[in-house]
Amino acid sequence: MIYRLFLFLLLLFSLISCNNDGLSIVEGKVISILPDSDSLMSPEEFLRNIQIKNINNQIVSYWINYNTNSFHIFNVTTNENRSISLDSLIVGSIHQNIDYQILNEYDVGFYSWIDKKLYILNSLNNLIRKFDFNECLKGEDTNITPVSSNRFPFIYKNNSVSFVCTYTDLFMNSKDAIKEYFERNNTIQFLLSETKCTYHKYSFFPTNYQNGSTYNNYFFYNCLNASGEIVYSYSANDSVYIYSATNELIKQHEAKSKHSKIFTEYDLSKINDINYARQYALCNGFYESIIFDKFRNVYYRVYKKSVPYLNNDGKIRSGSEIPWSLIVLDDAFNKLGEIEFNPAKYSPSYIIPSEQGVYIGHPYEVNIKNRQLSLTLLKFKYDFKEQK
Amino acid sequence: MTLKNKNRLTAILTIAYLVSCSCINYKKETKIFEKYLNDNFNKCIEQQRHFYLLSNSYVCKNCISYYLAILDSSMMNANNKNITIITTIDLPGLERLKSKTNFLKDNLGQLNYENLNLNNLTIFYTEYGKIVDITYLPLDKEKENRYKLNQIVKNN
Repeated sequence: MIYRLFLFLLLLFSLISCNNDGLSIVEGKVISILPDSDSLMSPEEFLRNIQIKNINNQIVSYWINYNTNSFHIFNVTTNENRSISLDSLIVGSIHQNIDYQILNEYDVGFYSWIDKKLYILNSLNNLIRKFDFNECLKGEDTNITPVSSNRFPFIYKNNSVSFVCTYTDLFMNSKDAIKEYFERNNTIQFLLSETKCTYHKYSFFPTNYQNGSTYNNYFFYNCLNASGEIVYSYSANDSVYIYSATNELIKQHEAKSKHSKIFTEYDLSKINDINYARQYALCNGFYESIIFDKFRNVYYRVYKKSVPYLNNDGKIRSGSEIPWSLIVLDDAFNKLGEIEFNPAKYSPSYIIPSEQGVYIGHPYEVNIKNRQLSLTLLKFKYDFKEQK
Repeated sequence: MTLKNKNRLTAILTIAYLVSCSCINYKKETKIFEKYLNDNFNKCIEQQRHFYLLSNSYVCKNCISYYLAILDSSMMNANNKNITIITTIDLPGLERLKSKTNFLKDNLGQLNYENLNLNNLTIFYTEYGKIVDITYLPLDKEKENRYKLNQIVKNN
């Protein structure tokens, strides 16, 4: 009897450890961020606008309150709260199509893709630098709209800024137009000089995109590593693509999830059917964000698994019912393992590396119910540095 | 029953069957929608003729605001109690429309998960507590969408 129990426990233990390729998770503290009680923001609006970054090993959250045209910074580590009125600083440009991010200890970047204008605000002295890319783009490049959003944010490095490059002369409703879009450069980098504007287009979508396949995703995920290289991850491609600090393609390296299957093409005849788009996104597995962890010198690549459209109650699956995994890559992009996440507890929307571990956000459905954003500090029970 | 009568009966039954088949049945949608209204707003589908305009979070937000502004401007009556707007998204600047109609905000976004085949702005026409027709105002076809909204106001 005891022997059987021992065998059962051994089997159970091996199953649990195999599930994460030898990696396991240790849960740490939970942090929560709430909007100000007088902010007049609905929980939906707050959760849509809030962003988080690790700045000098301090967890900093920030958001725009469009009701008051103010920018809020809440340092979770120190509990400091600041608010900057944007009314007099960025006149006429505060609208919902603005993307923003804290660039370093003092600077905040605001990018309006409708106006193609970037504002860099020094939060210490409220001085603002303005860069108008409309004035900069020349010839056929006036068709370019640099785009940035929460999910696909611009990358700021060494006084330059890189954006996803979209083209206004292409209407993405035919296979030919989409093929042409994928054959063009997908990134544009501007050098931020107040006297002279220069820009450089680079990087292409992978071959499966350029061959004309469409996956209803015209953007990509990327991250900056410690050497100033940019690593690209495309939703429907098993490899990552590494570009040097001078924007040259250095290498392509496989970074495949064990759950990855053949990518099914999107039915272009249903391009205006939002319901089909949701069904397609749920029923197919895709890669999502890529994050560089400078504290451990590793990369995390998110893979969202395919699931049936409806759950057991006949309802459309929510984010907290879509399992996902985190592929861990070393600094040479070799796969160290793949960690499985319970979507009812963790969401891939917020993955913030810190010295103490990695903060992972709770699902949207949980956050909206609690009217706050919460993250848990996780330690992966596997010391990457020691293993190498 | 003579052979002639039998043939007549068969013909009548066939026609009746065909007619019943040609009517789209929204039984499934009615059941889901009824439960949704009850669970989230403690309401039932209205017995009198009613228009439900539905928008979940997977929409073109600017399009929804635009369509609802059209609806607002074409409504002369201050009281349109046979129109209900249900949405999971914030719609600033539509305060007048909100006061003219029944406006229900789904704060927890439960409409996002209902298998109701919603596509951008979706309209359920109901009678006697049942959905009798569904129409969509998709992303394209702006002219057609305007026409559909005007029809609602006319039939209101």
